[in-house]
Amino acid sequence: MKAIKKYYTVYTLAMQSVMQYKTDFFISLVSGGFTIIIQFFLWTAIYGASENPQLFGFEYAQMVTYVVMAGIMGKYISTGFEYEIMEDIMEGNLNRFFVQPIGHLPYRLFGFLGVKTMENAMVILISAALLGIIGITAGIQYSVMNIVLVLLIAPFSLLINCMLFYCLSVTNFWLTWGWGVFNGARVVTTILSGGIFPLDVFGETALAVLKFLPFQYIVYFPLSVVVGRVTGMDVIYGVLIQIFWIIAFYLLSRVLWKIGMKRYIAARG
Amino acid sequence: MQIIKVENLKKHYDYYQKDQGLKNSFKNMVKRKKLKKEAVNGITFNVNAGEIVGFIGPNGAGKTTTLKMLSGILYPTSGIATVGGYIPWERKKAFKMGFSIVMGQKTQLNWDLPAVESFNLNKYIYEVDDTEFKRTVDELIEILEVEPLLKTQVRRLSLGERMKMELIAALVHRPKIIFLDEPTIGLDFISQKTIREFIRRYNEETGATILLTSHYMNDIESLCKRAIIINDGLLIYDGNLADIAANSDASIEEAIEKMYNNAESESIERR
Repeated sequence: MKAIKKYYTVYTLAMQSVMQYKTDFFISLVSGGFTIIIQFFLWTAIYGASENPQLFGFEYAQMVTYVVMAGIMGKYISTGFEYEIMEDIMEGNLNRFFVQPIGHLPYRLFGFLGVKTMENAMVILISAALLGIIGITAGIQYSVMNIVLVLLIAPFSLLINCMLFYCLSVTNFWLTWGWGVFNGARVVTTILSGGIFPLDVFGETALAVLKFLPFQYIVYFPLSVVVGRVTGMDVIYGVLIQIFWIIAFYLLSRVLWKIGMKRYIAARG
Repeated sequence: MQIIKVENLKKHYDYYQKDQGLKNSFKNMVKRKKLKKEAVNGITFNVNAGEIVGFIGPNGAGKTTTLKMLSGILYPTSGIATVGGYIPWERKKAFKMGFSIVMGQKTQLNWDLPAVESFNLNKYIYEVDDTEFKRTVDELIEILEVEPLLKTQVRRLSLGERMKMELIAALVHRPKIIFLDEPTIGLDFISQKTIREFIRRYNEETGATILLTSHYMNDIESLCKRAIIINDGLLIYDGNLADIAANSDASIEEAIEKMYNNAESESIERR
């Protein structure tokens, strides 16, 4: 009970902090919107020029929905605490977690969830509006069931990405300055997770290999549910694999942080 | 009762050196010269419950390193220490609940929000119940006269105002042992005085044990009867502050400076 209160306070404090930076958040939303518009016109042109109504197994409506939602999903899952951790390590602020009875991972995790609760409420509203506009202009009917499903699945995607970047933030114990790693990792995970276009574009072989990696469960899987390409029991299997990756990254982060902390302590005088 | 016991505590760590110039930067990428720094080189002292002890030494003498070991942030290379009956670097929860460290150059407050939010977080971190929290914080707010600043974002506070808030945040759980690492650094003399008065009053009222480092002799002279002086990782004086300059016309500051110089020439002779 006391632990719950502690982390609930961390969560609500983060929600309050976010509101101090609302302009920054809106600007990043608007700038993200440009990529989505480009994607929309790009694929409209590609389908317009093609004889085939299906490309890479996607009909026009499915593809447009996918690429637009992929842009939004990128915002939904985005992290940012890795830069804070970088600063904590550089400035020695991690000391706080040795001195106070509070854990670093739960502190970061609940703070992150607080931030995402505020931001993603906005992201969900905007995606609802966008889906509405696309639906009306392109004459697409979305299944309500699929949309409810993806609202349930998306938080798992968020957690995979969160734990992945929590693991990556360990590199700061060695590098002191990790921008390059984070930016590189963000590009790679965005592409491999299907955050730009569906993984089917890469071909059968790539698709088969990517099945064994965590990335596609971040964006490709939930969006396949939205466009109705993954249904029934496959949705449940997918969620189970998502949970598997969350736990795997959690365990990995424990090991990596232990090694990193040893170095942190040794390096400081 | 001896609440802090330190015996032959040492902390050595490795660091690297780079000669000036671009060429040497390239050289360093391949091979670096490893050097050993003896930050703390075997110090022994005890502190009784309720004492305020001034921990003095020039920059780089090992004060902060010692405080970091005593608060469990660093593992020592060798030696023993117990603080309130616990070995600090075992980082037991019961140990953490009973002490506090304030570093003048670090912050534990959330910069985006008013300080009260951070006090409130600490209330839950240290599992302080509501009535006790209210009593403690109200009292501290009154003594430090920060009532009108409570709703101001921490980043908009002046250095002195922020330091007062740091102290309140660190004392929410009424710790029995407090380490203050340069709590008055960079403050104007009025703020210094307020903080000094506050530390004295807190010690008198709660009987907390306080280990204080400061480069301002005013802080030390007005708060501490006893001083521990270290230089170059070694303890060079432990005793009454007043005795330091008792047998000469020199001020305490001058007497301490002489002590540093003597210690330096001794260590040169030993080499």
